[in-house]
Amino acid sequence: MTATAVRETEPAQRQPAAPAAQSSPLARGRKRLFWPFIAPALVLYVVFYILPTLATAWISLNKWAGAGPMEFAGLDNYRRLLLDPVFQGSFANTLTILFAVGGATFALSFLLTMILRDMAGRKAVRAIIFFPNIISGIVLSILWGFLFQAEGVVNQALRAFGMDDPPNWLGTENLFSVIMIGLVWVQTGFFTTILMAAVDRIPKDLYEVCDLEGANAWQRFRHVTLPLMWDVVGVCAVLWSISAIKIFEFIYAFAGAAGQLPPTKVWNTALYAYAEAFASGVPKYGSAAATGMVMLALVGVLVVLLRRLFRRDTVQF
Amino acid sequence: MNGFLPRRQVLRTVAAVTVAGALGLGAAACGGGSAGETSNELVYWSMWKAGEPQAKVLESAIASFTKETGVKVKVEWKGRDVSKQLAPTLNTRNVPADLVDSADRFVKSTFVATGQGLDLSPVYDMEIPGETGKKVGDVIDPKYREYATSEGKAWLVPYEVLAEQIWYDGNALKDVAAAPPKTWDDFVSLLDRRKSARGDGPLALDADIADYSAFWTYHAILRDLGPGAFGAAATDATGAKFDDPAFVTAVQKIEQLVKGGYFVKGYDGSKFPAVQQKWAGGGADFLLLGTFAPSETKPSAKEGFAYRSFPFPEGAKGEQTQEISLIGFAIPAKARNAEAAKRFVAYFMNKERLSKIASETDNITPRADIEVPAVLADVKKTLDTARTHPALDGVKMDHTDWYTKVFQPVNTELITGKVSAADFVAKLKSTSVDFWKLNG
Repeated sequence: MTATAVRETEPAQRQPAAPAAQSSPLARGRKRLFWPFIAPALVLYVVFYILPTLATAWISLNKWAGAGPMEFAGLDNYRRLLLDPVFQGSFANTLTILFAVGGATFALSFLLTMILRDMAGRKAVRAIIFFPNIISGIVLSILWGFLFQAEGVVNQALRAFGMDDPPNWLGTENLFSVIMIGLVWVQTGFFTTILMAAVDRIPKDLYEVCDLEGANAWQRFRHVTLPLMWDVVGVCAVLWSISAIKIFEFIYAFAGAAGQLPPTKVWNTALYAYAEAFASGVPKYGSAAATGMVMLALVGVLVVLLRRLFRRDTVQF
Repeated sequence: MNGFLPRRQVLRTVAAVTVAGALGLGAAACGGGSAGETSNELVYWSMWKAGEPQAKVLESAIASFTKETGVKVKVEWKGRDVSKQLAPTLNTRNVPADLVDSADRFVKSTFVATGQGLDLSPVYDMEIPGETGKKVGDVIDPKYREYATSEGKAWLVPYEVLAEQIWYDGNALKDVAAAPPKTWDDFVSLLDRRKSARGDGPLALDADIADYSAFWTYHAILRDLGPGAFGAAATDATGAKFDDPAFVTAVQKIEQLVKGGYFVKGYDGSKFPAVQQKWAGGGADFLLLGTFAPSETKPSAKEGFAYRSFPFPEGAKGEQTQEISLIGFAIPAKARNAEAAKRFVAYFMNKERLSKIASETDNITPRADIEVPAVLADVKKTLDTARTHPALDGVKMDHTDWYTKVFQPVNTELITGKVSAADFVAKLKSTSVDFWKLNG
């Protein structure tokens, strides 16, 4: 088992070779080919990603109803966001989803990965827990709503077990918790599948050594599994952070109905942005765009932090 | 490698392609003819989905319109989000629809507030094809025209009128059918009787739909303080209007319903449409809902269910009023075929064609001479006699943001018994003042 810091060493190796490469005919040819190859992708990227992002940033500095004149407002949209208690609640919910749902999802995924590693029929089980990811989030959330309503399957089952007064799952006091449980349920299969693929790469003899040394399950996880899948966990954490901040349809379809938005108590920033643009009467695209920029900044900060946190020498095996 | 382009040429080509693409997009956006020209075609974006009863009625009118006038109508059944889809295009010169139909509040927020809607007053002056001497304005009840007019400009030509009433099964509750409750006290004593008869709350409410919960509160406020009172309080930046003792007294009526257990069990923890279906199946007695209640609940109604309704009982004001909302046509200001769109609107207002909205979709039309469906006969009776005003006192239409962010959260707390009437008013006042400080 050797550890190499690939990222640090590579640029150092490349630099001295650069002057020599410039003079080589192959390098010159490559250089000529650079733009023809890059240009189509670059044009598409600029037109469909960079320009819309810049446009969103510009709109966020204006008061605009989507139609009619645009009125420059400076940072007023951002100021109003900071002071709007509904935005504050939505932002707090986004962070709660990010950390609480993320924490629970990863804990469960690790646990399932450990359990499934040695289990018979693991492929079938993996397919089953991955299932919620294949089905549309809208369908799942609607189904989830019917399971948990006052006379739904869950409460009927609880009554059958003798609970006379089962919880009011969809009541305002519990709604967000049920949404979080639903999100964990939907996400766990996805991350378990990725983590299991990472675990499958780990040579079996390492676990045999653990058995010979008398390591318990936790020690196996802590000293073998986790270090050898660390890079994959890092990728999963980034994937989760990005998707968590953008979660929309599960909350919208689960807690809203008949074309109406869910109660503001369960909004996250994505729902807030939607509401500002499409459900606040005269559309407030400026405010919606500002919310989008806040979400983008949050994603940016998280990705940088996560990459720092997970930056470690890649373990080669 | 001799075939490769020199670097400069490549860069120039890339730049040229990008600029050409951008110009192409711009040219496409700027294309199109000018409004006001007569034309033989029009594009119609509808709020209905293909196959819905209203879509079928409109489709047959479109077919005969094309046959009689030669004007081709390209219709797109967009569904309820039609205004949201159209809004981003209104600023361009290439507005893709010449005619839309939608609920009043969406038309108002998309067209009126942004100045992107055509003044439809000339449509009201158009003669209705097939009805010699009759203009659109002659057949539409003036109160609906007034409702759909702002600052002298008509922004909607309605073809469907919705109204909220309290629905019940006339066969099961014959005594109510014979003498519906008029006052709040009558209503509460009826509820008391029904509550002890069924051992559960007689009122059905899908409280997860914030509007449905709001129906109860704002009705109580308007019946005590009169139409306009809720709207006035909503926009009072000082919050002083909430201090009116009559305001809290009105809200106490709703507190009484909640604390007294008059709402059916599970109303605060169900998923729409569970409770209204339960009501249609006989699991509750009364449902406060719009005129769409019969068509929405028919599939789950028990056998022999006779749809009857009465207006929300009178309060301290002592006046019976009726809340309404409208669905109708609007034309974008930059529509390329606005004249053709106007012709279609006038054509559809013909009695024979519009009457299908009543006979085939079970709805009320804005024409007084069109018979209403039997299930809506009670509503029509109220509409003919009572003063009408916008649903939710116009607050959802004109101050949606306040309604969503300030009123709905605290109203849900009231309806689900988390706060008292006094706390509700205090909370509404403080959050309202904060809201207007930020958004005023």
